Amino acid sequence: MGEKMIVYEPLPKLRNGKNLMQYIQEAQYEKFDKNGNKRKSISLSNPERIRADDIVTVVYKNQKPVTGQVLMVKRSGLNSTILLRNKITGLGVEMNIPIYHPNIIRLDVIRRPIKYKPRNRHYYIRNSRLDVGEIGANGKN
Amino acid sequence: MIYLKTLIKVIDNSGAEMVECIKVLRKNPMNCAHVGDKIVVVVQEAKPLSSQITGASASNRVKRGDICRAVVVRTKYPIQRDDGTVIRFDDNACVLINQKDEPIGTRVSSVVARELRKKNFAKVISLAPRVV
Repeated sequence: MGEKMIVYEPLPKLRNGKNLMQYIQEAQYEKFDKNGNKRKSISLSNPERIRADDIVTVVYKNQKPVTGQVLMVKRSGLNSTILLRNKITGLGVEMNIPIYHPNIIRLDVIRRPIKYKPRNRHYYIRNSRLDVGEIGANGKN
Repeated sequence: MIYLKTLIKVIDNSGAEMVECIKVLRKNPMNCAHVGDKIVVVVQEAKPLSSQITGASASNRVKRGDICRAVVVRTKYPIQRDDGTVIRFDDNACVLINQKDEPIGTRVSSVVARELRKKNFAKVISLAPRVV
């Protein structure tokens, strides 16, 4: 009980006490989606979000835009993708596109259906009577 | 995923309609062909020869049972690209080529994959109506 114990000041909290993974994710969103448009376009809280059955055009910086009907939207942070299906010269072509890629400028919803089909993943329309038609750049068959 | 015994559609005007793969060139035996790979095929179904066709396309016509080379232009198996995009077609298709890697036919009827350009098949790309 002779000597006095030295008590140091507590260290300042790193990242203002924010969770590390949350901090990284926010930093990445800040880097790849500055204005938040892409986040908003697939956010579940947004009634105008991209849904399966919409017809969407993906506009790129360095290549031609890609158009197709959305079969599904995979929401997994920065790895979120949309699956587009289209028919080109009568042949079905599917593209799974990661939407936060820096070469993608924006996602345009060209057309929405009057009534959405049931389910969020429309894999069942492949090669059935519900299958997509030949969708051009203006969204018409 | 194209290997021994795979039946592939032919999308040029060489006369063949359906071919069967008998060899994937320059790969180890357990491997399979993807877009841009060369294969050896046997013609299983061909359009009948008619007298109307003349010129270069007539001399290059193939018959049932012919063995020739082909290049895979699209696959049902997904292709992963550098930017993370995954692309998948509804069928497997090829274009017949000669020993110098030039297409035998003079026309390509439907869409082909962009990966062919990297593998030096610019002729096939230029003949195709759409490149995805």
